[in-house]
Amino acid sequence: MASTVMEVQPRSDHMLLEATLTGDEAAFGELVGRYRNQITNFIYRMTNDYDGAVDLAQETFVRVYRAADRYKSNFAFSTYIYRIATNLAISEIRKRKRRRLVSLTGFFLETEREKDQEFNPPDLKPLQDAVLVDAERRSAIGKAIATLPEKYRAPLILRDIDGRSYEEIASILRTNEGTIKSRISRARALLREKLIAYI
Amino acid sequence: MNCKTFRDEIEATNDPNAARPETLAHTEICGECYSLLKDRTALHSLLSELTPVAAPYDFEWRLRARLQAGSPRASGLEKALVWLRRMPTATAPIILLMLIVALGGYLVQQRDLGPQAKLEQAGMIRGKEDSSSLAFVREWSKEQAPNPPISDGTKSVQLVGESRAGRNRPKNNLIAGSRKSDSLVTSTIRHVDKAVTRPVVFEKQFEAFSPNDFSFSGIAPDLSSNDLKVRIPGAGGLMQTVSLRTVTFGSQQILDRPATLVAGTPNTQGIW
Repeated sequence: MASTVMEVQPRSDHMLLEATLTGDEAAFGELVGRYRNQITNFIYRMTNDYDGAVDLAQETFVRVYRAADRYKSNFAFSTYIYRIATNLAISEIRKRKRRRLVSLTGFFLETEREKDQEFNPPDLKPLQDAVLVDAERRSAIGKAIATLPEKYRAPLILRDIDGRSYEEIASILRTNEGTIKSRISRARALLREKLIAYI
Repeated sequence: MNCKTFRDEIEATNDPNAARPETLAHTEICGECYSLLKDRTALHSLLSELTPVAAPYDFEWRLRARLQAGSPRASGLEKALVWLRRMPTATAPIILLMLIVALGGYLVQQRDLGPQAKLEQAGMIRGKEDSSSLAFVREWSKEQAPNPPISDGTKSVQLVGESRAGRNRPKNNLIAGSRKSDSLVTSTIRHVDKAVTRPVVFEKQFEAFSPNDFSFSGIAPDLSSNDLKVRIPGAGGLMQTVSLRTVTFGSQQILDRPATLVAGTPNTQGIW
């Protein structure tokens, strides 16, 4: 008895979104499955706040779902979803910045969150536990990224952590490739300065 | 190929050590490019230490719950409460301070308001928007026959709408003045941002006439809509009522009918 092996092609993002529009919840679930970690990681690197990142990642998917009918397929879905995530992350960063600027009590009473956002280069005393050293270094890198100006932060994360192309980054951030290249270069220089103790 | 090409390539590659062999070879002989490669490699190495974070296991479940819950439109009160909750503690005194300043400003404004403005604010006198083309033409009518007109050349009252442009001047002023000889003593009794287009009665004893003595006592319900009446003292101390008619005259500031009972000729602004 001859058996037929049917090769199941994975559906493209566009197809999944179209299926979502017809009420196919599983299609949307697949889309979420494809991007949830990427988006969470991206927002986490932007904000350096895991809970906030998860919340914003969910909000990103909520917006994708609700605006599915308005999605234009002339650019990649990944560009579209990253654009939403970037806008949400930048908006959150600005909100926090405003709160820090406005808060007068902040001068006297430093909250844990604010403390977390400060970037303090570590002292280089050797620690006994290598795991702790690694963890501290990773934490310092994360904080250093999170303290970059937002216009440098997003392109750097998209390029050096997410590995996106210049073209895609330009499309996500709605600017031209030349600007993106120069911002990434500047971001790297700034990051090197911040992490000089580790380089 | 020059240094710039190599540098661009080093900058562009995600992993600088994965650059083309000729680029890596170039860095062996070029100090600047080598330095760039070293920096890029070090940073790349640091960044690759970052372990990607994953979404929590219940991400989808929470997302579905969020989607099913929908986003009911929050009421104004709810929005305000959310906003207040998010507001930093130190913002409250700032907002309080702003409210105090606003209240102070309002009280000062109230104190400075003339009587007509107060009446208008109280809803007794309502004006029409954009009154730059309105003027009050003097049209005297004696309602109390025994009293002579007040156009005796020494004392008279006129009310004119005036359109002026100026930074510190409202466009429409209602001017009251007394005419003494050839000079007109005027005083703006109020700044009419909205021209008076409804009947208004001025009632004021002008024993010791002062332009600032005008006050509005109310709206006469029986007057035609185009009449503005003013009660002024005539000879013998008796009050008389005169009607002033409002007319539209476009951007021209010349009155369209001569004043018959008042000596003199209005100037281009309608002031005697």
